[in-house]
Amino acid sequence: MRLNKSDLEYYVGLYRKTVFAAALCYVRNSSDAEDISQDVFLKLFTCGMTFESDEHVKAWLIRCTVNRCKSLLRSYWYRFSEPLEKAENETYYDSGQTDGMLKLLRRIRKNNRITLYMYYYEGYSLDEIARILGISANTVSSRLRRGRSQLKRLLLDERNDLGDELQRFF
Amino acid sequence: MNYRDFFDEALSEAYTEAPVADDKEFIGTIYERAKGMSNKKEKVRQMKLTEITPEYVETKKSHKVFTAVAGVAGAAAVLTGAVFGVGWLNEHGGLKGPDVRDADAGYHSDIEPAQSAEETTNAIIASEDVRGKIEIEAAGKAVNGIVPMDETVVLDGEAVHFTGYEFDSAVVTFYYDIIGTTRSDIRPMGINGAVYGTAGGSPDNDSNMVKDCHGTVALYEPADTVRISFGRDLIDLTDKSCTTDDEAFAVTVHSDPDCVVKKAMLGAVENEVKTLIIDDAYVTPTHVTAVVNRYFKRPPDDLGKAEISVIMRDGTVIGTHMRSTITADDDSGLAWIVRKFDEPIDINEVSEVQLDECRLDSEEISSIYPDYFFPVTVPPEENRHYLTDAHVETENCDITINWLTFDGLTLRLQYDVTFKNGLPEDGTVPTIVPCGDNNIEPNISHGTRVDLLGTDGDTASCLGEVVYNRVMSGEPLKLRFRHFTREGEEELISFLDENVGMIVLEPETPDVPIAEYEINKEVSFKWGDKIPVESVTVCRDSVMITFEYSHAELAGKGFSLHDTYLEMADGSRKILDTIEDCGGTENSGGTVQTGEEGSKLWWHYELSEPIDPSAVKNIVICGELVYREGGEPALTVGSSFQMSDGTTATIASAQFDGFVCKIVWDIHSDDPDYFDKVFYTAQNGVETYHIKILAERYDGVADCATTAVPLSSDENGCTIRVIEHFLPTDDSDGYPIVRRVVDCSGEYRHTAGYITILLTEPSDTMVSTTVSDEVTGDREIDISPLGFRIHQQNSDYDLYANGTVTVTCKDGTVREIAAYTGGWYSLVSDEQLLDGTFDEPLDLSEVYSIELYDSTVVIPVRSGDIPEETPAE
Repeated sequence: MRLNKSDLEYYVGLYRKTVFAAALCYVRNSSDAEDISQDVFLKLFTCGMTFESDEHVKAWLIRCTVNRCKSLLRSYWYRFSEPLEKAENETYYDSGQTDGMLKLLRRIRKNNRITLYMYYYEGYSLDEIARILGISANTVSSRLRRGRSQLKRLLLDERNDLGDELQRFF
Repeated sequence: MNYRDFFDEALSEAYTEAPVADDKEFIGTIYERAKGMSNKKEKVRQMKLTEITPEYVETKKSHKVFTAVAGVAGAAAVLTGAVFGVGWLNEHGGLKGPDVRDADAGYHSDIEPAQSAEETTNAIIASEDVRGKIEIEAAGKAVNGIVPMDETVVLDGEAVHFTGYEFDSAVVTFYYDIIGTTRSDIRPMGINGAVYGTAGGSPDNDSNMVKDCHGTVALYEPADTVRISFGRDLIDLTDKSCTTDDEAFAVTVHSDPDCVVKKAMLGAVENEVKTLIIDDAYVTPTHVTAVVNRYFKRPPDDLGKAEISVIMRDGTVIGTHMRSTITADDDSGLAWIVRKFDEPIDINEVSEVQLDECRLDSEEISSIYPDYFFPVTVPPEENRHYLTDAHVETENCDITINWLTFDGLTLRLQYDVTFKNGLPEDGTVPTIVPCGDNNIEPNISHGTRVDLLGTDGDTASCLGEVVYNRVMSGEPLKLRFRHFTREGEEELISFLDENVGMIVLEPETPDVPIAEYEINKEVSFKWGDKIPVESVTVCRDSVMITFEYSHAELAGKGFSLHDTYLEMADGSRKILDTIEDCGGTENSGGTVQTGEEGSKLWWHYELSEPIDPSAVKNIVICGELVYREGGEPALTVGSSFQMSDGTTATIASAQFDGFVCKIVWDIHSDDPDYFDKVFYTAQNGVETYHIKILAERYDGVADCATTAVPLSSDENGCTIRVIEHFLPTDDSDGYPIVRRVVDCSGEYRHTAGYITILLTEPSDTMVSTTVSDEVTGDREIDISPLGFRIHQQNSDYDLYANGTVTVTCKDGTVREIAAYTGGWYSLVSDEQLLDGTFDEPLDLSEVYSIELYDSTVVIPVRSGDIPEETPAE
């Protein structure tokens, strides 16, 4: 059953940020993340699937986002093209206007990024992440460990002080 | 801060850095796209209904046989029977008789199925023996998309349920659901002659399955049979290191040789504007595959963005999905770009394949073709002169000249070449070349070419052409053949008169009507320049326009003609550079040959259809001024020049350190939205990146990369900074680099001038090292003051263009420096190469270490440097 306009507006309002964030974790640049968000919601709008709950939609969206990101990353042209936006961002960074978390996020390996994001930000359990990403719970666990380790190193390099709350995780 | 805050902040920054559309706009865009999808389907469906012939939907007998037995347990029997190759398969791998309907048929007695077919929903038990042994016989044309299947193969407890397949001899697609998991990691593998595979699917947690997977594999060349391997958890589906050990199972698919659905467009065409070559193209009802020579001028990363469409005979243009399969073979330098149509098309109605602006016609030839094949119109019989005894035998081939035509400007020679060792694979055939008295090519000719008319066994039928820059009435023409052999050697072949080593042809002047017109009028070109047209010579098969110019006024400049045509007495027009009246593409019907002799320039057009020169009433010449190599102004830092699209380019800097060459341009447009319009545009509803390259790649220049950054945009216009770098591979050490600057912003490319880039840093400051760790693997890294190169092989680390490097100076300071990069990746050897230029030059003597892409390179101490092992705290 195809979604109607109000359904789409509802889910865009509810999960657009989630989809964008998941895409950003994979592709590391905002324009591609925005493109992917559009593709994923378009797919939601046209797929004709019946969903049981909002959580069902959310998991479906994340899975679609991950698939779409993988497709993009696998594509030949993506591997060898440098989005113009990136160059813009680089200049942006270099000018000292920002020096924040997004840059750190981009430096974490993509598998670890998405796992960290889903665990700590979206609040999924290890098993849920494993099901959504199609990997084992052990793999989720090890990716979390690696991601934390990498983030710790990056944060230490960045600010020399993790703060008490983050320090507890390491 | 906690992790959630971390992501919150990062997301906030992401929204800020590239402001996203608000929800209303976002939803509106989705509606428009959904609406566009709907309209597109309707349009294509309508075309399919009116243009697809009934035979396309005919189910072949073999398919009926297959489906007849492929029910319930029969499916299991079919597949497992094929698996174990028992005697009920026919010689094609198909089924012999009806006795296979027994559910247990086909199983070896010593291999018991773990589950019965009933228990596993018609499942086939996938043992090791399954691998590579499932066969699907030809099922006819898959023009209407999917040939239905209902077969299930169980693998490691997960059942793969095949619902259909397409195989049209060039592209194979399987449609399947994976049952018992939400992992969509079972995919076709790109081995055994296949170039790529993709897969998609929607996980359904409730039913614990992945629905609607589709795996596509495109073949290097069309084939009647292909063996598709399926494996799991494959990241790079074209990884040549994949072996049958990685296979979960494999399926062999046959196409019906009587139902060839491909449309091969062999040959090569280069577009003068885009400088892109399509070597081959295959069109099937569902896909189009373009084989592109990716090393010829076109940056490889552009290929993935190229738009492919087919043009039907009625002029309808059918587009393809923008982002799709592309893969490359570094050994051959070719890339295969595979695109899918929304709906099947009737390939019999396909006229041309268009890749960007390059068009390849649907002329089909057999197994041999020259490097450049264009449609050829053979001169009519009445214009031919037949020769006798025009035969020569060489070590490699026999050549027989059959006839020639000559209109005073253009000589066309038809000859057959019989190769003693079979048709050469590279398609090279002997060409004719004019000779002078001293065996030196005379300057009276300014162009030769050869077209292939066809092949018969080991014999190639060729049509060679020589064009001259003045009327050769009553003068002897001396020719011979030149053949580049397989060993790369040049072989000059004399014929007829072995003493002279050449043939002397006397054109029969009375049979060659020629009209020569003295014009002596000035033609105005773009930007106000004028050039006098001296004369126009119209022959039966050719037109030549001669210009006379003053060196003082026009030295170093050249001209490009377009929209030039003849007005005939009957009111018709013979357009000299387009398809209509010249019978072919621009390259065949209106090849423009230019030359220079003294203060003259001439343009030569070959007509594919003879005309009556006396019936020419007027010639209309349109042109524009371009600069020519050798005489362009020298460009320096600070130089500005106007580009074809009205913008102004200024060279901001040009540097060379013996390793990396870097040029920075600023482009100013009065249009505030220029950056968005030019560099990131949506064309025909399909998003595409569109980058203009300013400094043309030259031989000896490797890995050009161009980055564009908007500097400012306001009511006064837009300024864009373009950073281009390349790593010269020629012997440039210690010498300045000289490069041509080309303006690509208009319809035609223009050479704006030459720029000399001086050596700004001594090349011995460069650092070359090898680093290795668990994350990145082995890497070779070169660093120079202006940039770097990373080369790695067999590493899982992706060298994305992340754009920054970390520099630790000897005084302890740490800086992040932007880097503009370009890359290259070999699917064959799993090599990655990434080179970049720093936003600002580095003084390596002050640098302790550089961290780039998770590798830290400690700059070695050099003589003259202060020894220091660690950075100061």
